[in-house]
Amino acid sequence: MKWILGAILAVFLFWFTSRALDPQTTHDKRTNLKVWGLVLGADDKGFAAQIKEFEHRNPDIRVTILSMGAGGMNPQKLMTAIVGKSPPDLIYQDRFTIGDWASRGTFLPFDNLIARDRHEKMCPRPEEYYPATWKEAEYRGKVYAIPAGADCRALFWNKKMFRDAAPRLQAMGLDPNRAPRTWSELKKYSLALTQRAPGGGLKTVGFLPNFGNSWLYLYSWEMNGEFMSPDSKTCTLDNPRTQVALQYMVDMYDAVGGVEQADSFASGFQGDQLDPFYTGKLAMTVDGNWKLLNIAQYAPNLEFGVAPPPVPDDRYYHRGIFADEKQTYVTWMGGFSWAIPVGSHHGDAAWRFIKWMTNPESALVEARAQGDYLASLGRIFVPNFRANRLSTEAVYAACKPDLPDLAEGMRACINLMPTARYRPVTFVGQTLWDEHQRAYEQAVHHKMSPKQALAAGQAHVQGELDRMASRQALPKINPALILTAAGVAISMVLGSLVWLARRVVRLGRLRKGEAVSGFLFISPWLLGFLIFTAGPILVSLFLSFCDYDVLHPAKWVGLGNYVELATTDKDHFGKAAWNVAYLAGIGVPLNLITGLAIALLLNTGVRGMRMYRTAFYIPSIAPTIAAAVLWAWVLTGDPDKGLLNAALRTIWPGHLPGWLNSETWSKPALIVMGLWGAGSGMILWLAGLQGVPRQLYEAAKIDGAGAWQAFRQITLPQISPYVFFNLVMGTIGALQEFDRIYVMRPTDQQGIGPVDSLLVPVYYLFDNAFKYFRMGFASAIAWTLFAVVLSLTLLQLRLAPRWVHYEGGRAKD
Amino acid sequence: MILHSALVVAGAALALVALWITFWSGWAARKVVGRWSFVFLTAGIVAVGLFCLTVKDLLDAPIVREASFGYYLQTRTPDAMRHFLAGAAILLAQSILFAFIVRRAFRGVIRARKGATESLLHVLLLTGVVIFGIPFAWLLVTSFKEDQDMARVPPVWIPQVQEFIAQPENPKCALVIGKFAETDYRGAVLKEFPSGKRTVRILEPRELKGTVYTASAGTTQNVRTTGLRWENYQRALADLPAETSYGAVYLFNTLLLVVLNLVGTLIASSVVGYGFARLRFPGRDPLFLLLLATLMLPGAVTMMPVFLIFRQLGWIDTLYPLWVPAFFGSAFNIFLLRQFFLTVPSELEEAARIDGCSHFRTFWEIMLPQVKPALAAVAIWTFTGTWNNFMGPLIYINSPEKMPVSYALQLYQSAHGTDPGALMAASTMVMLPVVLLFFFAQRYFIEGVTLTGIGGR
Repeated sequence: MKWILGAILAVFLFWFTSRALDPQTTHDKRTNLKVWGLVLGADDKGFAAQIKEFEHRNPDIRVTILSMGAGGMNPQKLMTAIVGKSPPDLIYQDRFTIGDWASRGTFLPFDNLIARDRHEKMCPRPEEYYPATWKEAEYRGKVYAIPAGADCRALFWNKKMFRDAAPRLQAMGLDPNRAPRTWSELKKYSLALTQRAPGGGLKTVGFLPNFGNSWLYLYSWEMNGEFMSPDSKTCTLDNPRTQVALQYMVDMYDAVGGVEQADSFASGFQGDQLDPFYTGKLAMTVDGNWKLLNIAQYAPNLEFGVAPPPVPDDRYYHRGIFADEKQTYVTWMGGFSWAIPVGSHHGDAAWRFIKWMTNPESALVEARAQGDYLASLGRIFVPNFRANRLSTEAVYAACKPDLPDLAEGMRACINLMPTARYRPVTFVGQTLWDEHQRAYEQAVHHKMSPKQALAAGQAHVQGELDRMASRQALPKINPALILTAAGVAISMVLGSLVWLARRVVRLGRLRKGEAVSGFLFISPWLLGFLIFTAGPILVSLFLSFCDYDVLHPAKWVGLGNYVELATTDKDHFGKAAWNVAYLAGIGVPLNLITGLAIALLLNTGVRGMRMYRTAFYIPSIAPTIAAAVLWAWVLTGDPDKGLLNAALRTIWPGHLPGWLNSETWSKPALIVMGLWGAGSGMILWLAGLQGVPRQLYEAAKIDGAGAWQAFRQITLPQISPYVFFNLVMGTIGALQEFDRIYVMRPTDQQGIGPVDSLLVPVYYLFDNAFKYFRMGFASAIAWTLFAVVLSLTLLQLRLAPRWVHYEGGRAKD
Repeated sequence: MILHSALVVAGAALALVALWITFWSGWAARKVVGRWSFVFLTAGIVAVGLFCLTVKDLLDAPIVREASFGYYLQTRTPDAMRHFLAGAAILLAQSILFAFIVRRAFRGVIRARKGATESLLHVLLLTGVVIFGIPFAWLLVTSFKEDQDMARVPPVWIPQVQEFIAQPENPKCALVIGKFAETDYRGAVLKEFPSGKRTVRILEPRELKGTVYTASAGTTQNVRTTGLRWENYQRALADLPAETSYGAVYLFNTLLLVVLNLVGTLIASSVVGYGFARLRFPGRDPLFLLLLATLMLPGAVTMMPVFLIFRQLGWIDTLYPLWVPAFFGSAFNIFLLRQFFLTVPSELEEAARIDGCSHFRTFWEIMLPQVKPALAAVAIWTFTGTWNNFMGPLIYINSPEKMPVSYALQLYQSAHGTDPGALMAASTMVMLPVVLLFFFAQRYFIEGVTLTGIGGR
């Protein structure tokens, strides 16, 4: 043990010194501008050049880039940082969430800065921007972010696949030389281009409505559906036009054999070069203009065309509800923007940085650097679009690609830009996005009809809207109430201390000394208990009756949070409860049995026991995150990639479970992974088994008992305290499942697992606490969970005497 | 080449050992097996024959000089692989069958029965070990694979790497084989085009040597050899932000947290555990019950208020929230150590008391050394717990220079999830220290747990 500690200490000292000597952190006098949300990979030379040029022009500033979550910004992280008063100086943020953030008072408005610096050449001017981008960054008449990039969606179609399928297409009266223009055409093309493999899986697919980047939003806008009323007070997610759009998506998935099969088909293609569109497995996809660059990199020989996304037939032929519609086609525009969080330490430097990053000169620096870099690798460059119109034009003129398919594609995309819609600016933007995605999932998995699914989502968003609206009217918390509560708590603690002290005083001299020492010995825990357990429990109980977002004073809502859990949030919470019951109900016993089985095998005195013991135990100490990363790969649904399915494929030729991508199989997948960690229980079982007196077995043998009888009559009762301990701790642990799910949920999905099949209470709580910062509501979830855990544990304790056998009748402890 | 030779030697040794076990066990059990022995003998001979065929297939393979064992297995001699697997399957089936027969037919023959039970046990345990070990092996193998091998059916278990050869233009040209004018050749790739075309200089055979031509896409085949692709690890490290000194800072933070948590937990938990076990004071038992009750409390209940406390202290985005609580002890460890202190005979303590030792000295000098195994268990638990702590950093840490390894890995996964080689390399690097530590310290650890008897005896 000594040398291990010594080694750790030595390494630790080594790093400490090497770090203390690191010149970068100690001798740099420049302002350190912390930027979040940008991901700079090894291939992002353009951004790097842009930033380098900025540092060159501003010698007093050093820029530090940190991504912080999946491909961009993790909202939970930003919120925690702002609330914790350690925000970044600048954030590169998805534009559609700006309204949401601004409504919470987390970003600084830019209006004064723009007015002040209008005369400067570099200053961003609204009139130079695509109107949609600028409007998306405004909230209640103020600008909270400066738009940076812009994009649009288009239909990409594989010309070669169309040509190869020409006979089939022509047989259906379709032209193989052009892309579909209407929804009904799209469906026909998709059917004609979808082929099944002999085993029943999909070989090629014509079109998947939500593969790529389209979402329900695009289809709804094509129907002229809206998501929010003009006054932003009502959510209209369930309007009839959106229902039609969602129904269309459902039909399209059903046409190719259902969403689960389609997702399994698509999920195997992790990694860009394996994109099914490039490899001739998917004939059409709606995706953003950035796809052009990916095609240039991974499939430069792909013969493809770019067309506007197909629209409803009535819209195309300008009839019915679209008789007066001027725009035939619709696209949608998203993109990122720059914002300065409240509490930014270097606001001025951040503003200078924004001014530089958003103007055409800088855009050219970026595009040229990136183009040169790609050219040096022998690759083709397709620039992205900017929110600033002048920048986009300048970049297009300077850097458009030589290959005709790519150049035409880029042209087609730019032509679509004026028809762009954008997601509604609202403080419930994030919720609306999550709910629209949830509704989509429910509908395509046939859990609900599109109408029901959208209505459920609408109710949730509306609830959020109404809650915000009525928040003003809620009673402020009476300070006297808090003081009284705190006073009662403190006096209770003091009272018990006085009571204990009086009992100590009454003791004899020797016993008194021992008692004082005793209190001193347990004082660390006692102190910790008061600060980190007892206090927080009371605070959390109190918070569960409040509406509290940390940034604003708490408001009293009484039982409101609990009522919300039981009514509007019933579906979510019920789902979470069911999921965790499933995971614990099947996972815990299975884990106990596996661990016990291994321990029984090892306890036979088999040779090499130590070696086996180590081998079985090691998986349970593997870091959760590393294990989850590993298992996410092992459990990939596609047998070409997932190890488990590859193994199953050799013995089972039929349909294989999609594991993490399938609603039915995602929970069994987690349980399987949990079994891998059964070793930690095994160690305890071994300890128990080794404590069983040998004589008992010998006596049983003399009585002629078989192996099973000996196990049933001797082993099991003897180790029952261990069964009890493992059961109680296992249940408590399983009900608090979080880490694995956080890491393993497929990141391309908005829900937590397919159709929320991995949503568990602690995850739900975590999201509410640290993503939406609804501390009160989260506390209510915590207390509900606590009540469940407590009653389960009490039940187990109650039932224990019936089956737990304590040697000599001694009670636990 | 060294690796490949080692693999061949290891494979041959494994086959020999397996054969030896089969024949030895068959011989040892000839009396009890009787009429079954011919089955074993036949199966053994078939297995040997299959192994011989494997060798023959390998030797017969058309040899391109310097290409390797793994290369043959994959491209030229699927038969060899099939024969090898069939032989191995027969041996495995035979040993299972053998174990069952011996066990069922001759319960009375104690020696044989014991041997059979034992071998059945070994078969079961080994199967278990293989199942438990496969994900690890997969992680390790994948972290050394080239991207093209990531999605292969059947999965690639022996990583292969591209062979390179130095040419005047470029010290690292990919070695390929192909056909030029109806002749097989070996050559070096001078230039790759995005379209898949390649400019190739032919090296062998001699009559074509020096020819440079542009091969169209898909007409050349890379020469690959069994080997490890360390570039995955280099890439994983290079992808980390420079201001974290390519991950060194993460490691430093984790180690700092480990040391502080170890110190805090060991001191606080043993002190409190001793207090509860050995000192009598009013209110001790209710307080201990309270401590047990906190074991049942979901962490989620206190998560938010504790966050608010640390926020009030200005400790967000610092390491304090991740180690300060350790100095107040943790309920589980206190419980564990208390149970252990209870088992120490009281004579020791009384002797010290009579010598006039204070309570603290008694604890520190007499009692603490008695519970070393339990301390070791607590230490390793604390180590792995700290190393793996994910939710803590997720809530409290925002700056890269303060992140520990576990959280950095999750960020890495979300940013580089499409680069499986580097991701698996990063995971391996996070996992390895914990596994190694356990491997070397397991004796203390398992003894600690086993002796403590957590079950409440």
